[in-house]
Amino acid sequence: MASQLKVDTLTGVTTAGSIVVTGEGNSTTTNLQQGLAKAWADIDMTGTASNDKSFNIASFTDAGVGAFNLVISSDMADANYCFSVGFNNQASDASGFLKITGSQRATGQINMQKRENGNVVDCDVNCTTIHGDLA
Amino acid sequence: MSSQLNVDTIVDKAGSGGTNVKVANTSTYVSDGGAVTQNTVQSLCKIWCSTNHNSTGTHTINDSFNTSSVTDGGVGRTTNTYTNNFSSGNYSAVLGTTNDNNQSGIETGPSTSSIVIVTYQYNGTTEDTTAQNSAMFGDLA
Repeated sequence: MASQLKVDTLTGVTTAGSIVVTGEGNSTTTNLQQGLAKAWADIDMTGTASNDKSFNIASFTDAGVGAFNLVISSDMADANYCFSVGFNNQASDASGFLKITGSQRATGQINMQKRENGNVVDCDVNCTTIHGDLA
Repeated sequence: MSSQLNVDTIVDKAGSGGTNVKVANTSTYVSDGGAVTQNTVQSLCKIWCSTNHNSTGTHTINDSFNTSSVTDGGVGRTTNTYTNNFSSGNYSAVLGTTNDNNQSGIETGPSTSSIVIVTYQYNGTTEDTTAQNSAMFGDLA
């Protein structure tokens, strides 16, 4: 018979911020908290820039052509976190990438910049996902 | 009244693993550092897929989660169709690829049920790859 457990918060016993779950192959366990994305955002920089959708992002600011800053709601423990990106290009034959601006990656903010063929450009899909340890 | 469950490991009732455990979309977890709580479901990767373009053949899935099919759209271009859809076309899709000097991009307007991903060389020319990788984060319907 299936069972259902209703709770509001999952907390580890040994360490509050550490719960393990059994892997799909049933042979290993993995840490639940460390496997979760801690923040993500889908930013549209065309026209009036907008935050289309996000999680754990308190605010975003238009930092000029192709550039935007994401302020994280619940901060990361340190600045050594993993960020992944996805984007589209304005030109069909463009070579583009979405990168952090300089070294501006902090516990509470990450600044991003979109480039195509070496130039900063506004495009409508700028996705960023952050994995790492929350404070 | 709020409730709190203190556990070290979560498995299903049969004890065979965690694959049958269901988590409500309002559940939260305690952060790694213990300072805050966050929504568990919004933190989960909802879809991922690794696609092999097979150079001269039909695109195939290396491995995937919540992906019903991939469609060959020409050199370097694949449409990934989802099994369980997103609530809107606004979600975070992050990408990776394998070959030297190439990268992947999203074609304009990912939808609730699919996304078109294009892999191209540094000079903008589309190119097949053995692993066009994607992971989607957002709100499922």
